[in-house]
Amino acid sequence: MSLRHAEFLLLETFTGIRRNAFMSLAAVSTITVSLLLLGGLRLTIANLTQMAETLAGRFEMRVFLHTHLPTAQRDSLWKEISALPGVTGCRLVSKEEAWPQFRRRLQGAVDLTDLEGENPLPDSFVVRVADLTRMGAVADQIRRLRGVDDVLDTHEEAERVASLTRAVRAGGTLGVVLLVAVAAIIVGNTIRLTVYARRKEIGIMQLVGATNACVQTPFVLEGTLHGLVGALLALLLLGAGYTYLHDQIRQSLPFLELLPPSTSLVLSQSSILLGVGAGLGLLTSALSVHRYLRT
Amino acid sequence: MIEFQNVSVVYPNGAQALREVSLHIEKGEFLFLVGPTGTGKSTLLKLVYRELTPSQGQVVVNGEDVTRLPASRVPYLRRRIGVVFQDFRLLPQKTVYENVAYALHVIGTPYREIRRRVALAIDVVGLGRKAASYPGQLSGGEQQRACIARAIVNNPPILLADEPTGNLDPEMSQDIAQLLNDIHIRGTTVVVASHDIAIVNALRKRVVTLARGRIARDEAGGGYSPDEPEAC
Ligand SMILES: Nc1ncnc2c1ncn2[C@@H]1O[C@H](COP(=O)(O)OP(=O)(O)OP(=O)(O)O)[C@@H](O)[C@H]1O
Ligand SMILES: [Mg+2]
Repeated sequence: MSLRHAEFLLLETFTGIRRNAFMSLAAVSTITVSLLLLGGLRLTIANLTQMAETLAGRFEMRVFLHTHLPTAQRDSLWKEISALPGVTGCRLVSKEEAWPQFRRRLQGAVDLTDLEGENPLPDSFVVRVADLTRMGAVADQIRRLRGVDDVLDTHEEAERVASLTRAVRAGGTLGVVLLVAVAAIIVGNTIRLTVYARRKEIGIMQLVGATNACVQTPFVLEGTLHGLVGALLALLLLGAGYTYLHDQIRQSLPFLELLPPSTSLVLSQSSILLGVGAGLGLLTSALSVHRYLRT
Repeated sequence: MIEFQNVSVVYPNGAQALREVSLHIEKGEFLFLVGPTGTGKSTLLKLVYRELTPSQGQVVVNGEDVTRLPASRVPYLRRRIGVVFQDFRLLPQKTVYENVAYALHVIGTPYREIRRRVALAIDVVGLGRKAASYPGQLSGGEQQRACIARAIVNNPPILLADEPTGNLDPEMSQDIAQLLNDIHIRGTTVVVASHDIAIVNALRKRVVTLARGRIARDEAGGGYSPDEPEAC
């Protein structure tokens, strides 16, 4: 394709948009709304997943050792627990470390004076596991180790959170897939309407010697452009809305930690929305024109 | 240059528009296609630029069997044939100027050349003052002339005109007939389907009369009178 031809096709595209301004407006606004829904859903899922993960990260078990366990045995136990499959972290809380905390917590409630500086607490480990659903099994393994007195695990709560996280992930993926399908149908129909309104032109262009590519290109460029502009508008609206919401919530519900509107979030949203918008615009317009090409 | 061999056309709804038509048109010839309405004149022309393919028979244009032409070659066939459509077929979103220019743009003519040729073609059909109007803003006769300008703008070797004077007053019709004749004199093969007795008789060219999808008469330098083979 020569430069002159490319220029002609570009001019055709813009004249087409200008002279069908109303249809273009309808297409762009429909695309904006459907991508707004898609972007909104993705933000919601990202936040829910993040919350579930934060929550999951708080689950750990406490392994209490026998009091007066020799240091060497304590260290080998630490090695053993750290090496267990599924364990991601094992931190020692020595009785010296635990004592002041313990005292502070019980201050005033219990009279500790008769302990006379004696420290009744055992050494303990704080153990984290990668997969919350395996917490119970790991706890049982640890319980069987020599030198371990008791294991305080929270696996029931942990499992509930884990299954919640899974549900959020699965539901979110399903939702995104469904919304992309819905967006595809809506965008497809709108773009098909813009082409349908001009189907006679397609036949005429062919009759005066335009090749299929020559007829198709301006329509496809137009559809892609509509998709891109719709996605951009959706991104702007979403960005402004989310930043506002984030600030509001940080002030009034500070315990609810929303994802900050960071660069990576913006990048992930823009790539998805622009990609889906442009892709759908391109694909549906190409298919629509193809329907009305007669040869 | 254009050859019909035993051509029949049956439309999908069963209407038989042409029956075993054989016709040979020489390069550089001028031919009138006449006959009552509904006898297949437009159908015959549509076969030449492959808007239709026959149910039976062959249509050869410039040595090429257009019934077997692959779809990708069809645009190139159409670029060598200027067509004045009975129903104009102007692009509604484009001005007269842009409509005429479109036929040149699709074949990659340089812009400067396009400006010159389009201005000339529009001038020849006397539409100079309407160049910036959209088809919806034109009278039937003006649309018809815009369509003629588009058909002749790239000097095609073949010009097909389907009722090119159907919407014009007698004086304008004479001008258009003269224009068609000028184009013919420059070497173009011209086929005109027409009811317009005045211009058929004025030019005294070969006249092929169709009746109910068949060729009823084929006369060189003939005239046309409406009481001839009236079908019904
Ligand atoms: N697309 C179509 N589908 C079905 N039948 C058609 C179609 N086009 C034309 N016909 C029929 O084919 C016959 C020939 O039509 P055609 O348009 O070739 O006639 P014509 O000679 O050009 O008539 P006119 O002088 O009125 O323009 C007519 O009987 C018409 O009803
Ligand atoms: Mg006709």
